Amino acid sequence: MRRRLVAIGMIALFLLAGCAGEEDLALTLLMRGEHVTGDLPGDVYIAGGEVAVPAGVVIGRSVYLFDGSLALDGEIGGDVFVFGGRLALGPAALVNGDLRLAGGTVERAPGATIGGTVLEGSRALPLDELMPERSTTDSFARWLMATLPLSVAAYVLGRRSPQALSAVSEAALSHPIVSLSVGALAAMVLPALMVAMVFTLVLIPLALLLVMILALVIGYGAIALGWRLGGRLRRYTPLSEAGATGLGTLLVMLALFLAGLIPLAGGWLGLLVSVLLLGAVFLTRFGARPFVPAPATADRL
Amino acid sequence: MPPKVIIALGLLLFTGMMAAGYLYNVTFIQLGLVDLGTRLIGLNRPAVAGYMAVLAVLTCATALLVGWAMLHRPRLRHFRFKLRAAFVAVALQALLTAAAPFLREPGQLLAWIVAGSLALGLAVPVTFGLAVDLVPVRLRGHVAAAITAIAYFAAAVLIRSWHIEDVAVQMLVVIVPGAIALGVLAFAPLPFVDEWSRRHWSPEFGRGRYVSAIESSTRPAWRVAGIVALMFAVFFIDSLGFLRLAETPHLMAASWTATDLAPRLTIGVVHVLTAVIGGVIYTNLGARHLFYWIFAIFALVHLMYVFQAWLTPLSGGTVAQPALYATAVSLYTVITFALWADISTPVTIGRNTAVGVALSGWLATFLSTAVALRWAASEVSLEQHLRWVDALALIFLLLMLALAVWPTPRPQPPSGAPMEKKRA
Repeated sequence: MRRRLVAIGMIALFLLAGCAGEEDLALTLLMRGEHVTGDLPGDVYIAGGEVAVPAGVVIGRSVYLFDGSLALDGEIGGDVFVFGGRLALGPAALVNGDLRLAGGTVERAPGATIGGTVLEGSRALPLDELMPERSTTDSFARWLMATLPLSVAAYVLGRRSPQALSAVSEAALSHPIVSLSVGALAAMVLPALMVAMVFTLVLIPLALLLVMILALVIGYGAIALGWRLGGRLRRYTPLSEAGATGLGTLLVMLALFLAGLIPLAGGWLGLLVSVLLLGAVFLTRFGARPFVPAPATADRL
Repeated sequence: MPPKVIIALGLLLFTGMMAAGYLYNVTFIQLGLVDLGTRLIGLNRPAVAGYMAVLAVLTCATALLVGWAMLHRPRLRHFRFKLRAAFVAVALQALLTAAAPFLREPGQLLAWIVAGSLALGLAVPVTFGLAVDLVPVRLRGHVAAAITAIAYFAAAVLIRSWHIEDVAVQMLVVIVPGAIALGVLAFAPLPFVDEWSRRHWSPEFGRGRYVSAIESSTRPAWRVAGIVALMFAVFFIDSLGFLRLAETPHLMAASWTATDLAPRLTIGVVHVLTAVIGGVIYTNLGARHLFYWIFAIFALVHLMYVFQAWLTPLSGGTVAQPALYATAVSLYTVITFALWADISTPVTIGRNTAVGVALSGWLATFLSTAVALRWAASEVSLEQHLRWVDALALIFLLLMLALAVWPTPRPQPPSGAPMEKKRA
């Protein structure tokens, strides 16, 4: 019972870390076509079907068109992103923000109004939304809100499961290529699996759960690295194993935060580390057993 | 010449030869010949499928014959013989490639196919058989990855047109220098070639990684048959699915045959990256892990295509699905180029390769073509077709998962080893 409570508490801490700083998580997903009659919650994502926004209807946020078609005669409060499919702007259509064309086709009737700028190609990618410009102070605050719960979780795991953390960190540090390979495959396949789940509609909660689990897995990997670093720190500090793990995790997250400040390369480094940790955790079955490369002569396929 | 340089040259030869051969197979044979039959000779698709079936069956039969001969005739296993046989096959194929764009009659196509089958059937066991001489066991996964990466990157990015005239010219640029190089190596008295010919006696080269697993099995023939069946399933699922996708112009135009370079480059880069990943996983985790990923990815990607066909039947979709498809293809191609050598010794490699590549590869392609044609004649929709493919992939994924938990009998001790004493 006590272990289960600890596990639930750990998960809550992770979720708290994962949701740090996020303001609005509402969105609307359209896949089979809809005749929109009023505003929809959050940003609107169109993944298929034929969507019509008639004249007089206002969608307050941005619209992302991935597939299918959007016949717009109404008003969009934010931007319209076209990654695929077909966008038809009627004569009464009004887009208050930018029109960003990264794919698909657009038909624009005379009279259709774009309040912002029409951007095409790579300039159309919503990098400013995915990676918004934030002040360093704001970024640090968000980082702190994510890292502190993680460090607490690290303290608990460092006390209860040091062998598991050892196995994961060993796989990540001693077999980085193998960990990266497994992590890369998982990183390619799991998002596709989530998209497939979303398409079924009934599995959307499971897809969201999978996202959280992935965040859990990567956080667990970060704690494993923190355990390894904490072990080194114990040579110079009077910390317990659990305390050193917590401190080590804090320092690992700090290093990743500072690395993330490097223009361009920082994001890629963070992705690389995430993939590495994902692979290391999968290779060791969450630290249940150490990873040993297959021998040159195998007794099974 | 230092030993490491000799090994490196051998790796270069094997990688280049197999990459060129595989590129030839996936472009000229599987795409160019279909174009020749339909566009230049004027045959309908069922008729072309019939000619391709003849090619598959004859190639299969020739490969099995050559493999059987290599098993029972020690002279045919000699390195120099394999090299010279490879030269003959490549030279013949070069001549046939040059002649192909000029064919205009069905009878000419049939004659070409008979000659081509002999060349291909000879090439498969002798070229794969060179692995025991040129590729150390510990590097087979990585060499297979290199072959896969080169072949598919070239196919995705460099081969823009599937017209026989264009493909033939591009292939001749690769085949002719390759044939000349093979000829020099096969007939010139080069000392490092003699060094290569002695390698297969070394345990570093000759005895495949999984030979012990098969020999210690209670039913070794069943083990090999099981591997062949798995690879047959992989080829069948891939071929059956891709044949239908290739018949859907708007899907092809957004991906493999896009006029824009970006989608094709994306597919090519994914092929390279996932081939490298496949080589790492094969070497460090084993072939079994790759089979899990392959069936899982095939199940997922065909499901995504089904959703797309269901929700937006006229849309070309994004490059995500072709990229995922390319991942599965790269992974199984790594297995193709590594596993047959790894279940073989210098004595059995000809037979095992012939059985494996011919039965799993060519036969699967032939049967899947027949099934695809029958479904097309019955007006089975894209969505229904891919649902069946998806179901097949899921069945084999479940089978693999079941095998993972199935209790396996303990390996037999080597003959002559003392039996365990029973405890009192």
